[in-house]
Amino acid sequence: MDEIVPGVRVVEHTADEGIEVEGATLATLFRRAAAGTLALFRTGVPGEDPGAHPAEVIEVELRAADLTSLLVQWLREVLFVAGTRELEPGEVEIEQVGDGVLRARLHCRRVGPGAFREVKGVTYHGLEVRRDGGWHARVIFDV
Amino acid sequence: MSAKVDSPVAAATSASAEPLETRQLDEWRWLIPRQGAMRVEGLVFADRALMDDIRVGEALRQVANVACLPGIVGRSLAMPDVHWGYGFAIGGVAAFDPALGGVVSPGGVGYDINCGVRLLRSDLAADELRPHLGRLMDELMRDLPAGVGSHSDRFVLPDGELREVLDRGAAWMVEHGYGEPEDLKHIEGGGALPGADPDGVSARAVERGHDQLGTVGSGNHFVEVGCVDRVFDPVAAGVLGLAEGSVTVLVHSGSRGLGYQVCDDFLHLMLPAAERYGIELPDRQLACAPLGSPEADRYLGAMLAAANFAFANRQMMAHRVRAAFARVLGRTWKELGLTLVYDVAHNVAKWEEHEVEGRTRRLCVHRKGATRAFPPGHPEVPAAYREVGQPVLIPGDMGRYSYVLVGTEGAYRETFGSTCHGAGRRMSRHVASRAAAGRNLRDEMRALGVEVRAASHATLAEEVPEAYKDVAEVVEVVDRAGIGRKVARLRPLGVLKG
Repeated sequence: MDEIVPGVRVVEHTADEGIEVEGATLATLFRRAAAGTLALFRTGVPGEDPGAHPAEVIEVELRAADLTSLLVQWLREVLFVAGTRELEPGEVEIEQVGDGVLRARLHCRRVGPGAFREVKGVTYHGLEVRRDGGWHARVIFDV
Repeated sequence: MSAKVDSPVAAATSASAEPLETRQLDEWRWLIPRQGAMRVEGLVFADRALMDDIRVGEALRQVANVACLPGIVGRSLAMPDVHWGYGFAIGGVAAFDPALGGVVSPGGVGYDINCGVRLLRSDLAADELRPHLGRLMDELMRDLPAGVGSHSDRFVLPDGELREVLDRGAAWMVEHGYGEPEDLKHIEGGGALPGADPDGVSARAVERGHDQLGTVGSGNHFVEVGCVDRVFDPVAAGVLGLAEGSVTVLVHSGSRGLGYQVCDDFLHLMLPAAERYGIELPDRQLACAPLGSPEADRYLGAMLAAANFAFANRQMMAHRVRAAFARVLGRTWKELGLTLVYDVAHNVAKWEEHEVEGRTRRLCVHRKGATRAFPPGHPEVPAAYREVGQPVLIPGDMGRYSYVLVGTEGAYRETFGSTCHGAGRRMSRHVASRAAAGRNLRDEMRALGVEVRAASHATLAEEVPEAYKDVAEVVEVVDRAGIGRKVARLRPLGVLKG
């Protein structure tokens, strides 16, 4: 399966949809996981003219007991911003990730309704974050 | 209702790869004897062909995993449409006793809280509707926003009223002119489940769902105009008002984004809670908390509020269906006899009284992709139906048929008053989309006599009829096993999809 964005492959042949992500550092892994999730659920419905609204910056700060939970929380946040707030994160800056904390900035542009498919949730099913040379993760979504 | 098929990913990540021992009890029942950490046995309702399908993936393992949870009583049950889900299998029923350390689990209800089905009947003959069907479907498409992120421009909930909807469900809708008091008598729990806590629903859940009342959504949700195609039990059909050849409407939707968020919020909260209470989880998606704990109370309150939101959603949808019929046919909905037969939840956890080991106990019954099916005479069955039992609504795929059943004593004794909920997928969404590639599904369905309207071609492709098992096989098993009784079969004439 080809990469949908650099370092992210779609988990195929499943009932649901998921992504496998690779990154040299944890920050790259989390940044790519966000980009991959957005690419997976983008519908192709054209958004509003990017010039129509100023870009919005969203500060994110999350805490979780372990890295896997932190990844789930992070992707829930990204999907909420994109799907419900209708703000598509373009550039994603990971300022800190590790020790149960994630701090990031999402530079977003406004999109119309229906720009992203409805995702029920980010699941703990088959969830994985591991270090093996670089970092690897797998996440499955309930759609 | 959420439909998932057995997943190779699930197989690869299962907590245990050991094959499960099963034993056939009779033509319709398969026992999973206690093994490993199981506290009770598992019981699967299926014929041999369905069981062969069920064995392929992780559904049986999930039934066994649920049997490991604290305070489970009776058996961990699987209906014939059981298939792989997150944590709990879809098509699963499990009851927990607080006196035995029983738990409540968001995964045992699922993301789409109170996804359910509502059936309207009418005095209108299918032949009479036929010339108007295309226009009716166009009107429904306009009035019932469907598809990804569908929201309602036509209905804006007044400020501060959402908490009233979360508390009073369909009753709020009726009080505000969307239906009539008689409707409430024909909804599970009267369309407003007690114990809802609107304050337990997060601001984020409210933001996701507040403008989605009266919308279909996407996935397997639909509005189906059909007709009574066959009657199996003329007496019960008569009591439910279903005459052969008459027009019916099925509405299938749930709590939309609000419910998804409630599930997601509490899964996250329950993981550390389970650890704190020393509950060993065979699968993290089974995260749970002991009944009576603050975490369990908060989840139950929020979940029941989301369930009430879903009842309100279906009430609003039915109101718009009635209005569209009246406009197109030039008669009021009352003149058309477009009354509510029943509205049932397919994904919910509720307090109910059941007899276990000779003693009546108050249990928290989880139904995930299963339907309550209370017997004749039960006080929760509407007075008008008390002699025949609670109506049970089982949608099939969009090309074939759906079924109306009634609850039975057998279900009350054996499955905490529960039965199946649908066909169950046999193809993944990806495989279905590939099977539908290059085909004109609208024309194919028209050739079958079904007028289709869909917000997106992608959803239609995922919902292609062959993606589902034949619901007739599922219904046959519950009827023969005595955990439901066939009353009538409905045939689709027009389908609105997300």
